[in-house]
Amino acid sequence: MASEHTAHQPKGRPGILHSSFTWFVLMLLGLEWLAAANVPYHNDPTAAEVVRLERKRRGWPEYVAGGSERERPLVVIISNSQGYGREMPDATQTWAGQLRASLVQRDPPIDIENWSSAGLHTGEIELLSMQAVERRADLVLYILAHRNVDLKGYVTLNTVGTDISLLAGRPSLWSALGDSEVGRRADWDDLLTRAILLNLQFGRARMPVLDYWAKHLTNAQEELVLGHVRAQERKPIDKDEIETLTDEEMRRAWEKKGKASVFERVARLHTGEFESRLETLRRVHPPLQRRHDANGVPYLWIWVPTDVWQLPPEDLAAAQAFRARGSEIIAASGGRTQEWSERVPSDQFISLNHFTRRGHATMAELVEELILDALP
Amino acid sequence: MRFHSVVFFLFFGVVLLLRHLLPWRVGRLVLLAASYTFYGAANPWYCLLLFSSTAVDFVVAQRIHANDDARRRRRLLYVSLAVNLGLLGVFKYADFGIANLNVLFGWLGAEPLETLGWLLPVGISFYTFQTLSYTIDVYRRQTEPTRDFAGFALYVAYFPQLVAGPIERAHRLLPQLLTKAAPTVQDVELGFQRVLWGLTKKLVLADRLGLMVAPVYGAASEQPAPVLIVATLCFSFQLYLDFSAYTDIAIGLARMMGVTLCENFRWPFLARNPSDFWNRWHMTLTQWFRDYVYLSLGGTRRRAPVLTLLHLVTVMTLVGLWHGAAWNFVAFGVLSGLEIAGYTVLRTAPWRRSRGPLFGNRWWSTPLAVLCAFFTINMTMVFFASDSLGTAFDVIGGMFTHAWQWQPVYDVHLKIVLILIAVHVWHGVFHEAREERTLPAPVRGAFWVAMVAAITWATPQATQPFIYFQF
Repeated sequence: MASEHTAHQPKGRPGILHSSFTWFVLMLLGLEWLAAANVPYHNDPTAAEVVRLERKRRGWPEYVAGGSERERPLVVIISNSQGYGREMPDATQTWAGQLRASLVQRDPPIDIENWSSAGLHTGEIELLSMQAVERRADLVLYILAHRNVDLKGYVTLNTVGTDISLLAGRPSLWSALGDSEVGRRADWDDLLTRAILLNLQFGRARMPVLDYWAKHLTNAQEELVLGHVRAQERKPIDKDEIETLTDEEMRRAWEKKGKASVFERVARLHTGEFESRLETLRRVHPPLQRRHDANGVPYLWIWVPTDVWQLPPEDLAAAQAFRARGSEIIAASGGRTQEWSERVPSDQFISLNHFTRRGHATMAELVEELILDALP
Repeated sequence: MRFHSVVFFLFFGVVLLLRHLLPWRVGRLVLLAASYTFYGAANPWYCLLLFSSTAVDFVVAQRIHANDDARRRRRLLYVSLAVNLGLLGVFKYADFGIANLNVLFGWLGAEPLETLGWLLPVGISFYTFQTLSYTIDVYRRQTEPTRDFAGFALYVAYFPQLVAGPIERAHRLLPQLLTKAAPTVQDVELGFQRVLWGLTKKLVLADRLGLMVAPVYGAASEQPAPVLIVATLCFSFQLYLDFSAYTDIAIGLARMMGVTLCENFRWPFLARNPSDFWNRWHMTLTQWFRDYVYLSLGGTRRRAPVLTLLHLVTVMTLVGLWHGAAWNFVAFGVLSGLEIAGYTVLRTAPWRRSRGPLFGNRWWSTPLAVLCAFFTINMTMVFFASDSLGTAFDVIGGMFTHAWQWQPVYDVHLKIVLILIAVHVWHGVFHEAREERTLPAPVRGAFWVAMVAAITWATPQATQPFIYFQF
């Protein structure tokens, strides 16, 4: 039997059209063109498209037409799972989706890009802020909680395919990455790979392929087949749950599964994390302020609305003290903050920070009011 | 520097360009510098080891060749063996030896020794064997030593095959590196195709199969029998695809530079017996051990069959130990040796009329032989896949004693393995039909695009290093 790769020697010298390289390059260009024409940018994936909420970001730069010329004012929202609308099966039902639907009907229309993600950490905030400035947004809203200000996250740039390395794939950000502490764990290979995947239509076209797989596999199978190994463990939401749970059911699920761990995280504020998180904010905020000032991109820092009535008194005191001290730090470098916890009624929360459908509507109204005040 | 990285392909593009543009006397120095850069990217200090091995064998081979005194020649050979195997022993086997001594000391109540804790230099087992083969060939007067140090250094450090083979012989590779090879367009085309094929095998298939193996072997005692069986099949194919992918990339890169490297695989899972398997799997290693160890021990002795069997088991134990300094690799080697010895005993048993294949030459003989060999090989692979002997025994025991219950989460892996078995058989049986080069250029171009698409769209998020890099 011949060896696995025995090959016949060709005869003669091939012409250019007889070369596989010619056809290879032509077909690659064709595929790039086809992908550009047929792979839509998603700013509002539905539940069926999202499938795994943690994997696909709503409106992250990979899914919106980054860098294109804009005629309308643009507001970028950088928030955590609350802004992402983790509990909503369809992005149009989230407060950001409702806000977009409302603002796009105004004259002139205002565009909203929601770059929120569940479990956003400080490193991601810094990279997203670089990108929002680069995008020349007319207003950037940081809607965050104390959990998103995390020193450990600040020095971690995941290199296993999470969205932060996807952001790091933008060559225009690399010089800024060099000055940033978040860049220290990204090697050149990661940056280049991500740059190819993010900037070529052909590379971006992998998302529909991954979605196709995701729709046909269970969460556990998808983990094993596509290997979505994450630096931090995130529990996928069961696909059926996304489309079927009511507000009440989600509230019960929160009481049963999530409440204890979230309350524990709040409690850590007054058992050691208070000063370290504030110190992180002291490090992160001044460069963020300078970046916005230097580029003339206004922003607002809004503390994530919280159902304060759920918290035990000592935890509530710690959370409020943290926000007050945090607001002082932000004000010291010239920023402005907002606190809306009192303005969303308790019965509009399904958990400490996540809204019912009515809560999303309330939040959409609050943010719309703020945007209309802030935009010229 | 990983083969399956963008940085490596940029690096290779620059090297290829310089090699073609510069005159050979400069170009080969660029190749040598590139090889050391490639090797030193992980840890520059390891370049010192590579250089030491190169320098010692270059000088020793010259002296051996210049000397006619048999005793002096032998002493010089021992110097080379001592330096090369000494480095290998210290960096690869010292801690294993110390750990086992400590177990003994524990029984005797003595103070344990401290382990060295030195990191294993990548590819040391490969380049050590390659330099040794040169010196031994010169000693046996089978090859002439070169006086060109840069050429010899390039032979030892040639970056496409430095880290995980194929283990080349001086008489084959050295002449190709001493003069400037002129690759044809077809060489570049076939080399490129081979590289793409290797990347597809590694990134799309091998890494995906690996995603099942780790969790199953990590909790072997809790897994049902069919899951353990499929995980073992997954590992066998993962190992084959991973290692043959590396070989494909190495051969493809070299071919693009006009150098032909040895083949390392020949449809191993179509082997008809354990002996045949080792003639198809990691062929350059098997040939190395055959030529330099098995034959040195005395080889096949018709009048002393027991001694022949002992040679076989000894050599295969060393093959196992070559793979890694751990008891599971030793067991892998011993078991492989026993299988070959067992097959030899059965084949040459006095009650058999012929010395032909065990199952005769009927129509069903080959499929049955392949099936039996496949089963045996996979059972042996359990020792390779496990991180300890305990895990290996858990897995093998579990295959026969655990519940016969399937877990749907592994459906996809089962399908992939079945497809791979079918493709493997198809490729082996109809290998002539598979020659893409007989197809028109547009079809070949489309085949390449399909591979690029598969790599881009279906690579798991976290890619793994090549398995054989650890050896």
